[in-house]
Amino acid sequence: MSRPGFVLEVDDKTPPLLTMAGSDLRLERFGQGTRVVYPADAESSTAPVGLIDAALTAPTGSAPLAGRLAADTRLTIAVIDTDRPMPRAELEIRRTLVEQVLETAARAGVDDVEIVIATGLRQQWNAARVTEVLGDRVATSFLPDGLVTSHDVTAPDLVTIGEAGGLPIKLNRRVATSDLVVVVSNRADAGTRCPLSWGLTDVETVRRLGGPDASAAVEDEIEAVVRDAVDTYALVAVLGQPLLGRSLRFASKREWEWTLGDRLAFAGARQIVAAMPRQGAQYLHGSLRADYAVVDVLGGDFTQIHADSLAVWLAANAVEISGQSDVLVTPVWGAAIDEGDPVGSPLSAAHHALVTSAGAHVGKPVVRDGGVLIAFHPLRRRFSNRRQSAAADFFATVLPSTTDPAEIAATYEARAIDDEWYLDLYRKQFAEHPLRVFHEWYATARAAERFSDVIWVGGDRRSAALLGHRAATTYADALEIASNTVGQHPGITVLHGPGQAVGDVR
Amino acid sequence: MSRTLPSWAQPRHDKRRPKVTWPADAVAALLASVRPMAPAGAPPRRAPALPALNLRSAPSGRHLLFRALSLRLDVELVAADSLAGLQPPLVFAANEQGALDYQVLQWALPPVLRPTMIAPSRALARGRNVVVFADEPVGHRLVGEFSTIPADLANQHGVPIVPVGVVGTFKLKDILKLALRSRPKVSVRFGAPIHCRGRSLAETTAELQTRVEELVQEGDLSWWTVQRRHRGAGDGGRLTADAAPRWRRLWEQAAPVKPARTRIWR
Repeated sequence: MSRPGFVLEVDDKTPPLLTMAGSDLRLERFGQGTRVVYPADAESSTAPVGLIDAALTAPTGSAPLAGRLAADTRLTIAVIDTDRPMPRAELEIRRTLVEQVLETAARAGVDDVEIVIATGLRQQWNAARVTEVLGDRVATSFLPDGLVTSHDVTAPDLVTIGEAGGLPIKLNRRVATSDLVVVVSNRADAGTRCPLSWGLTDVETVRRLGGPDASAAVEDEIEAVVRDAVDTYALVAVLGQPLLGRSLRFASKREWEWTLGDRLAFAGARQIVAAMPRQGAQYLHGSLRADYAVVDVLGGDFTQIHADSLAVWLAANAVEISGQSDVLVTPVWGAAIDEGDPVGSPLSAAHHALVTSAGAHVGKPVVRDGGVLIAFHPLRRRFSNRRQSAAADFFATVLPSTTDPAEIAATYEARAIDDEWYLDLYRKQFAEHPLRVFHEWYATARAAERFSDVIWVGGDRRSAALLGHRAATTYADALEIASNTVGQHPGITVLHGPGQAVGDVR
Repeated sequence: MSRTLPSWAQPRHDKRRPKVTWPADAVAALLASVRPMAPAGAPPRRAPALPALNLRSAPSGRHLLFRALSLRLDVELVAADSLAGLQPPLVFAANEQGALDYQVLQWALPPVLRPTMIAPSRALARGRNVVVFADEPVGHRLVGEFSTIPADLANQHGVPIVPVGVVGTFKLKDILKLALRSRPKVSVRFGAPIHCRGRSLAETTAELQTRVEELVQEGDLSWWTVQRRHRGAGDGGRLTADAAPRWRRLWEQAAPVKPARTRIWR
């Protein structure tokens, strides 16, 4: 059992606290009275097989998996990849989950088994990725026969399973025609999205789910249709906070508990990035892996497990905060926003700050309506040519003309999702679907409406202006800008650490 | 471009040049190590990981102090195996029956589990078990009210609370002064650990209160009666067993112990 998270009130004995901005690490001195939210302690993972066995043999709201399998069952394992923990997990719990399901299926004599990766709008998996995540055993057993496929939201063979709001909903063919779909996923955040509707349907359905006029009612309606069409068995691993590798282990600790070794490791990490801004950052933060403790593994009825896993994750990770504040401060660490990029793009940084960090809370938001968000990130215009081609064009051509989601959806969205170049990159070059950047922007813009100002400390001024935000050179400057709207003595809350600090505001 | 950006919103063109940061950071590291700072509101450090309790470390009644205690008291340990597998430190939460409760609990437990009452937060931070007692029972109740201290300690340190029911120590100090022919019976009953993760302090405390009341009463009432009253209780699930009057408590507590074998003479 890890040490739970807590809220620290900064006093005169508080040492400078670690903040992250892209690949830069620094120790920032916060004003007295500032509340700093520390998530639960990160712990190393332990063998999850016992938990998985329990989830398979004693499920919630369903018969045990073995009892639902027969020799003639058409079985599909849907591996959810719409949401994944960042930095990537060192121990892929999904591999162990899939292996245990396959063991059970083998004992039941099931012949017809396929694995579908529910990627939604994210990159499809190549063979290397399948091997890396699902392991050699699964790869050698299923890849040669083409039995591992990534879902393609634009595939022509999707099956219509019903209607919602008068429009058809199409689902992955293999999933729609299966007798049983075992949905394998891990939960590392407080997201409430239905992984089946977001990960395995067609582009038009996903477009409605994440468009500027998306509503919970539409999402519920689509989710109900998908759920009714497929017989499912859910298997969810609930994860704790990321425990970083030895070179960055200090970031997973509390500053006043740093040993001399931690302090020297911090000095070394800073020097590596400062001496070689590109290569050093790539070396330290580019392909980082973290260890996640498996808090619990839940199995059984899909709807119930989806809700239960959220409750378990919140119980293990949420931190009780008393009352809302005027200013929310959040670091944006490159390794936690863009895979393979140590700094991260400005669009991903904005999405992370506004949606992932500030938008994740239990009940009331951490900051009041009309408050100010201060985020740390350089906002340098960096996009991967292959993976983020659509995002680069969105930043270069769409944002300079408008930031309004409705206008963007009406003018640019349809053109982008029919663009042959983007679609070719999506289908053949393992890039993200072009619709993804639009959806991220809609969510970012919606989240920004709550704030009177969003200020980027150390951010590129043009990038900040394009996003409709402001930039400040230092944290003190940012507070001075914020004082125009929240006054001279605002209540300030800082979200701390490389993991996700979710506030439970009471 | 239809949006007009402010004139000062210029992109940053400067290339990041290599810098030397380590001397200042190394000096700061050394200074911080010499004069460590810790905020006042910070939770205590995590205790060094200790091996989980096994059945050998669970109270078995074989250690020296227990044997010494058994010279004057007939001590019974109930459900001690429920502690097996737990990772110390632990917070024991017990009912207060009399002045000797703390001593009885300390002597009844093996050294690895022996708790302290002094500076509980610091003790937990150092990996030692602690015990917190309920208030003195008011009126005819058997168990007094628990404060939120056990839940608070357990929450702060991320450790489980072990409910303990101590029965038979009521007025024990006075009873031991009497010239009794039999040893007074004392029962120490352990309940399943309570993890407070995901629950408020009030919820954990209410759960603890109920569990300890159950433990204390399970000798008088059958287990099934306790469960039925607990589940079907009309007043929010709280145990509503009729509180025994003082004399009956003393009377039952002083009941003679059934001899191991019947003696035909005496």
